[in-house]
Amino acid sequence: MSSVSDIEAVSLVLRTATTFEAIFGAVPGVDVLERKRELRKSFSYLARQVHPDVAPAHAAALAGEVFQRLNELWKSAEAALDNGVYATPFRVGAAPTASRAAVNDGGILQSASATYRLEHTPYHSGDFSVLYRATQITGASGPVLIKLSADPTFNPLFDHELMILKRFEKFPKLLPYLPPIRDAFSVVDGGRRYRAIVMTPYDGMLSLADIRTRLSRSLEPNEVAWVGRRVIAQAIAARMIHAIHGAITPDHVLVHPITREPQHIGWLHAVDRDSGDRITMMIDRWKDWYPPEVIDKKSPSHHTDLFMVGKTLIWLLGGDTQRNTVPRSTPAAMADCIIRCVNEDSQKRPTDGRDLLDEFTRIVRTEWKREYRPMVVPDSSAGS
Amino acid sequence: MGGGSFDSDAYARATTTRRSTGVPDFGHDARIRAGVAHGIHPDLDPKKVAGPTSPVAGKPIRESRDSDEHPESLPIAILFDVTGSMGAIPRTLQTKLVKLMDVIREKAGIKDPQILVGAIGDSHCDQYPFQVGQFESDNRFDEQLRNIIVEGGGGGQVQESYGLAWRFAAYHTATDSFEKRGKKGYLFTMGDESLWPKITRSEVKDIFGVTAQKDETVEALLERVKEQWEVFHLFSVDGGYPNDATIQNRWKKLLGERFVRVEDSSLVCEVIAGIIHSIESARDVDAVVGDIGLTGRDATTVKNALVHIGAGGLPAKTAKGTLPAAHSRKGRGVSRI
Repeated sequence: MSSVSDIEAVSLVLRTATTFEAIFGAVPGVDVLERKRELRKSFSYLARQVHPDVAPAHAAALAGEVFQRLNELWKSAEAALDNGVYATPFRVGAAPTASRAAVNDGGILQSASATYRLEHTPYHSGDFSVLYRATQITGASGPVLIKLSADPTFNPLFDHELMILKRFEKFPKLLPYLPPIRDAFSVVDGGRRYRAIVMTPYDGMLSLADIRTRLSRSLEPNEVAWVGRRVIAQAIAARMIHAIHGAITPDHVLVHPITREPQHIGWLHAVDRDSGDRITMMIDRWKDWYPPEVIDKKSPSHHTDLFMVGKTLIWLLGGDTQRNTVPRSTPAAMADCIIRCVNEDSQKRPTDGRDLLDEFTRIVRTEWKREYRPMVVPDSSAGS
Repeated sequence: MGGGSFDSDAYARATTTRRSTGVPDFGHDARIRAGVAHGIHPDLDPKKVAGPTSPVAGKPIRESRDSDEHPESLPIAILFDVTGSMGAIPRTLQTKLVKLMDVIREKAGIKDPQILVGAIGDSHCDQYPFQVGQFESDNRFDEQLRNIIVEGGGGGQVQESYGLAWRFAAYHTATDSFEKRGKKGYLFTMGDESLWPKITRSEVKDIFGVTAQKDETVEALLERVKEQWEVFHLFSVDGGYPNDATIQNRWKKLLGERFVRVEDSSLVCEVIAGIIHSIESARDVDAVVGDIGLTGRDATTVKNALVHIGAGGLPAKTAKGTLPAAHSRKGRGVSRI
């Protein structure tokens, strides 16, 4: 049986989403048929949470309403796939209206493959980049995100990130969980050259740092049960491409609170496993995340990423990342598993991300079964 | 620095004039040997500071800057071992460097290369362990080559102070290419020996006239220099230690595929042009060697040197348009480890 909070969680997404992606995910596939199958899977998953037949009696009316809306949106999403506008905002007001665009017009960028209209105000500023919302106005038109180097001296980091991400082309199943890059080019402005990467916006995705901020609390162990698996997956993904991610922090793992899809970002920090290169950049606000081998200027390893996974999980639980303690409410087996990751001695950490994921999964399944617990994350205006 | 342009004809005329008037190609070196000059040539002194109008005025920093004539400067630093068997390298550079520039400009599509030359010795026993010129967009690098003292020393310890070249590039250069375009310059060292493991504070004081915070390992210097430079070492297989595995393994461990074996040192210019061309144009080795105009054995030698060099990063096309006015932010909150 579903709970009222499940239904409310889905209801909130349906009311606030501006794209089908924000509701059903990116639905990857080689053609429309395959994408429709993915869409159906996503729909079925959500439908199970809100179906009136499994709703508590006192919430049947709400469930009926939400279920009907979900069905309508599913049909619309199928039509959008047929028409190639799945990623386009379906609600006026979500995309910049004419008057807003006029006020917030950051100009036009015309690359070799497409033309983009940027918003004037940055959407987000990272450590090395500034993100702008933009609209692609030629070809496959629709909303995009453009990531620009904050300073030309960061351009080599962008090139490095693109080269690292290119390695994932050998692993197509992972691609939906990585930054969806559509275009890359340089922009010359005021005699300075900046790198630009154009991405499909990942609506509905929130960084773990954002989630904690918006919730104004740490996560419950049963929430970390599913979020934690996505964090561990980032270390596994890095290992698959013979790299060390080098900055698995709450900023660099994004998740969709409802579909629970992850998005793994922050690859400009990655280090080639076989190059002997060190991790030379430390993000100050996550300084506890860097293990002794990094501070001692030794070459990092897969175990370095597992250390950062451990710190991220401790932080999510509201534990102490300096003393490596977790709240008492954390089940003992889960706590042990996490604390082992942050052992100062890299050889005493779990040997491999996959083993760690198996162990973690066994623990959470024993503790909470496969129960779906919705995470209702307020939008930023409500949270701030 | 950085004015003028390369001119093969002017270069040839200058050489002919020197020959006909009996002026030696390596003038300063000859004067030192004759006892009529003393010490490192002032233009090549690493302590020489930037002029009063420079943003780095008063500091021992070599600058590669854009100008109206050269709006897209790209620095190329070539620092070679001048001890022992490597003494012929400056002469090779002198005779071929201008042609190399033609290839870099015409084939690799680099509009405004700026060349800096320098010489590396052994700071443990040489009198002039480091000599370095300025970044030049014209034939003046030839003058600087002529002023290099070819010491012919070395300590017989199979190690030279190549780390000085990395120290120099990491701390004593400022380039518009990197600062304005995020484009790394090219740094080539060349020699036949291994390298001393550290550059000490006292060496830095003696050679550059500044106080370093601490001794630095070559590994640390390399990491630092790689942030702003594409770093290569050209190993002369026809030098003094062609088959010494210890030397080659040391370099390979540091530089991987960017440790380049050059079988015939007289082809060093072609190898340098080939490396830059492959990285900038992402063309394959055969095409690159063809563009340089090599055939036969020379072509094979240069191909062998280039074969491990990967094609460059992603050729970044430039979009038309400008950025929102607010776009000008330095990154934040990241420290160097």
